[in-house]
Amino acid sequence: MSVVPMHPEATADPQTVRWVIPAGTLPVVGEIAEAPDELGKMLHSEDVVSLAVETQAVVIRLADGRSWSGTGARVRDALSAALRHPRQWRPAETVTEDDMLRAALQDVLDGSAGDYIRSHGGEVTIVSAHDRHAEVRMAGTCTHCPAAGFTLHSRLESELRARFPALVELRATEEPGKASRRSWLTLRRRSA
Amino acid sequence: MSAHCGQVARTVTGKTRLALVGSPNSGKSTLFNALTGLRTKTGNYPGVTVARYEGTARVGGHEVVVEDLPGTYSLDPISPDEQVVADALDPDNPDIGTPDGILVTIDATTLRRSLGLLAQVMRTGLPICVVLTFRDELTRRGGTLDVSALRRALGVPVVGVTSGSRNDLAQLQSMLLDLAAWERPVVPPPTDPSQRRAWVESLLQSAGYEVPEVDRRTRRIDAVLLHPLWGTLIFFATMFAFFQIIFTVAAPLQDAVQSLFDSLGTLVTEHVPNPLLSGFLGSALIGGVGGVLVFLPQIALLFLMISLLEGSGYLSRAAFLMDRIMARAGLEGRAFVALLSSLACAIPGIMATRSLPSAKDRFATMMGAPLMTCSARLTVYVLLTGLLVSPDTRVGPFGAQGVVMFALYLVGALSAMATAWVFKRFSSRGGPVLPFYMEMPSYRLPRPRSVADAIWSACKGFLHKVGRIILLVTVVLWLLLSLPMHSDAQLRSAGVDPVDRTAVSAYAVDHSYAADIGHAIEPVFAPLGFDWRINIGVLGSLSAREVFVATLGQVAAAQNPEQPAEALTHMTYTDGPHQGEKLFTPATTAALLVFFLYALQCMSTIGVMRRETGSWRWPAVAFGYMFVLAWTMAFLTHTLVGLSA
Repeated sequence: MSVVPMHPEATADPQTVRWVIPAGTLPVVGEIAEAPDELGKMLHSEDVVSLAVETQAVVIRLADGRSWSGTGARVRDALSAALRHPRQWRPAETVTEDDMLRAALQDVLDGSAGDYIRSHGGEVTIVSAHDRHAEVRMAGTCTHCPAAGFTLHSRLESELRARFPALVELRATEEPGKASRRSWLTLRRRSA
Repeated sequence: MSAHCGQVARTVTGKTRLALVGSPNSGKSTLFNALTGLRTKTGNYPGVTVARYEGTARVGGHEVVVEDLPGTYSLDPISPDEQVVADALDPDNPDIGTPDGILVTIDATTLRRSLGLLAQVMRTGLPICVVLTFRDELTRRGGTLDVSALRRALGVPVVGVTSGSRNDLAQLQSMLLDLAAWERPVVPPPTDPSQRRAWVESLLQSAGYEVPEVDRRTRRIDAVLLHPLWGTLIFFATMFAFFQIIFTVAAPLQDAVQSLFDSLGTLVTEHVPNPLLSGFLGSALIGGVGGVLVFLPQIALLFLMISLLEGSGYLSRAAFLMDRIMARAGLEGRAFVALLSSLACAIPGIMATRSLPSAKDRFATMMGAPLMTCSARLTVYVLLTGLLVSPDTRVGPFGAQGVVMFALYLVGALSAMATAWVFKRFSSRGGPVLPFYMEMPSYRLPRPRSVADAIWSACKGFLHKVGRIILLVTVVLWLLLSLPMHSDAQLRSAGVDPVDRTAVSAYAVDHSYAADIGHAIEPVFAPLGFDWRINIGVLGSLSAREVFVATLGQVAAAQNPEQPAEALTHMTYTDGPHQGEKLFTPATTAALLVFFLYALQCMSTIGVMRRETGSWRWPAVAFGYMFVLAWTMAFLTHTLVGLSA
């Protein structure tokens, strides 16, 4: 079996490293209670304080007194081995499909697509994530932007689908009261 | 192709030392030149740098030593030039000081492969800064790369540098001041190959790297130029045109320089009363050294064309085409690259054999390299070809002189390959041929600055050589040709009018020490049709091939100071069985050309061979076999041409 592509990225906290992995590698998100093999042992020993899964990363925090330069190689080997057994990762709390969807959507909004929207004053927040349907609110400069629909479908939805292939639909709700806004000239189809 | 030749890296201590590491053709030397203001040879051609090379960059009043290392695909060396890199970065190697930091040049268009090397370099634990090159080309070819994501994923600084951009360079320069501020990776990349592949894969994903499609322009051109039949035909047609140009374009320029020297010669005979001084000025300086200098246009043109072929990326294709043929004979593609470098000068060619992994292949290639027609032979070839065929003779639509020149280069190249093959046959019992990896760079417009640098450094090198070794040998030869002095009484008794200066100098030359030496070795060269004057020229050319031209120029100038070229054409045997017959018959001229094609008349080449092989054995073998070969081939040519004439 081939090795899962991964690489470490530093975080603001020197004890914490994000190990970037492809989306969909692990069927869980959130705090991990049990991990397979060596990684599990490290989690129960003094080495690793916490282990959390994001949509595209495993975030590992080392105990104080342990350093990444010393323990890094061992953690890498353990993580690499553990990623081969995705079914043996046990979350601390039960993870539903809705949780996975919400996490994936959050990952999209935290990533480059979110950066792009924020770069020109747009705001996107999660309204709901349920039963393979997700809904966001596009506010700020997005409100009157004729390209908002394009961003929603071509960037957000496609990136979300890459992280959560079972997605049925990503919708945007407009802010109440602004739905019936008038404009003298519009190129946007009202029904869209 | 000669900038790296013969220079030994000096180590400057006490300053920040940076090493430049990267895959071949990733732009290290271009960056090195930009940082240090030096003019190292660069080319769109992998393997231009084979030795360590140092320069100093001035950044905000501080000096940073930058070391240009040969291009390598990995730190697990398989050839001597890759060993140079591995040694330079190895902290446990006591012979070479480890650099304080490493600049890794990465070609954005070949990111996947380059990251493998980077992973190894990052394992050294030294501070690292990645210099991303060819981003403009990546964009043009429709590839994408998120530089900030790459920087985050690597955990080391990444600076994009576009060739020629001052802003980019300034950003890099400001970073060189504070190595301690360079980010270090939180966990170094893995050593296990499959884990390393996974690491690279993950980085590429993260950085949103889209593999650039092969440049459409490049692909279309290559469809024709790399075609087994058309490509080969075009290659030969290009080379053919090359030599036509050398004659047609350079001839008027050469004539201009020649007439300048001719009028200088006239001036000297008219205005310098002292016969000794006028002889020295007229024969040695103007006739001899000036006779070599007239070839400056050809040298400039040769290097103009080589650098255009190289800068555009065509030379790599030529190597690829030739590799097909060479591989059939069991020779490595790398060997051809070395031979190709020898077109300018055998010295960089011999240095380039460092890229050959097997020592036996290296020696075999080194034995063949001096047979490639170097620029020193060019002067002799042009002179003798001019004597052999008149400029008006045509072969079909082409000038016959260019055709002869093309043939000489072709025979030289074929002989070099055949020799390498023969030496390989006898020295090794056919070990496994290691894979040869040569990148086909995209076609790029040659940078005018690189082209100008190449021509300038070649001309400078040529003038340097003329001003030193050729001048020195010419003066020695002049002394040998003018001594002993003859009194008026001696001249009269020999039937020479002491007032007729031309007759006196002709008599003096014919009865000089040089004539004695020339006559002494006559038995060796008589079968080739050489007389004592040619012998002296051949002997003198052992120091440098151009001396042959200088010697003939001196002798001719002694006979007819105003029209030395005329004198050369009508030179006759002065004694012996052929006395009074024309000296430069087609048979003799052809034999001389062939002799120069094969003989190893270059002390610098012998010196470099000694240095590269570590013993006198190989240079001795090379000199011996090449002399025997030269004599035999010249004899055959003399006989055959003599029979057919």
